Amino acid sequence: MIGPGIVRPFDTLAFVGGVQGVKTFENSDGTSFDAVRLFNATGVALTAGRPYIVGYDGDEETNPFVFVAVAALAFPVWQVIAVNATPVAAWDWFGYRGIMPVVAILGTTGIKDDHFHLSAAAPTGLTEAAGQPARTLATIGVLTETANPAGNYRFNLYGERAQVAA
Amino acid sequence: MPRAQYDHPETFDDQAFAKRAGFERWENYPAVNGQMLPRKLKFLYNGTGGALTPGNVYQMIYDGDVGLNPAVQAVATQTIALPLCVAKDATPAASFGWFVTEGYCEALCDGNAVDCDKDDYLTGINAQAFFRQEAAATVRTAKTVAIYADPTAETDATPSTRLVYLLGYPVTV
Repeated sequence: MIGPGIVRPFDTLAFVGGVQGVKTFENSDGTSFDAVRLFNATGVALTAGRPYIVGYDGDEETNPFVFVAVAALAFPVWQVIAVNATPVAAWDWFGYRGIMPVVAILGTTGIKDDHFHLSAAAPTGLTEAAGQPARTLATIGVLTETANPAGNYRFNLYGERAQVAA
Repeated sequence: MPRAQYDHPETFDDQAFAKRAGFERWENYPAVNGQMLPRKLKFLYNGTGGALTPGNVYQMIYDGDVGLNPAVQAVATQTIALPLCVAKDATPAASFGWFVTEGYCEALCDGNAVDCDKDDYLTGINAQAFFRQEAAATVRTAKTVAIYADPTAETDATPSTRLVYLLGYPVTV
């Protein structure tokens, strides 16, 4: 997303206040993640830390939005993580790059540095597939810790689009 | 990442900023539906060989010559994903100009064979300067580049500029 001669859209919160497009959240340990503001079109309240797919709508009032993965996608799409328990049909922040807590479905290894992806068969969290730590076209982040009593594991999200696994 | 209607990216004065090749910025602009909507602009070289028409669709390419890079060309069939963009201004041949690469804009749409209706996904077409409805209007594919956002459907054989939302990432054609 960022290349030579390109500047990032900066956080306009300090300029206009209220709702705006992209901002950086700081974690208590000094790490951070970037988040984008999207509409909850799932029809239900969201779960913080759960992954969703970015979708598009012709109505400005509900575009762009998030929805739950229901099928594998063979082309890359933006995937984001809910920062909050967003109510139905409301706007909120969703992380897409950097270090943030994510619901994880650990496999038999579940160790730091393994890559995770969103699977349509288990959309409630990021899944550790067999064969990780090799990165694939579907992986969107890497696990940064082996255990977390709080339940949501810290991931380092790439900030790139990815396919959705079956 | 995508931006929503309620975003308020800072609006820049073109003249106050150096127009550098590949420079990107977000701005709000007054769309045809009367709302202020966000769009991302990129400063690109016109490598088509002719003057550009605002609202026409082009394909972003790269060149080893720093004076010609990054550039736009006429949309061509691609098996690898390349970004498509929409001309903001009537950029003369062989000069740099602003192009919309993401967000809302008025782009040329074709409704000749199949109508373009609100919420239809759109694709680029080989050797054409307009968007056309996806093979299945509501199914995203690797070719999906935009979604039709105009309240007026595009239904005839004469392409017209209509409000669309560019997804902002590379696609195949």
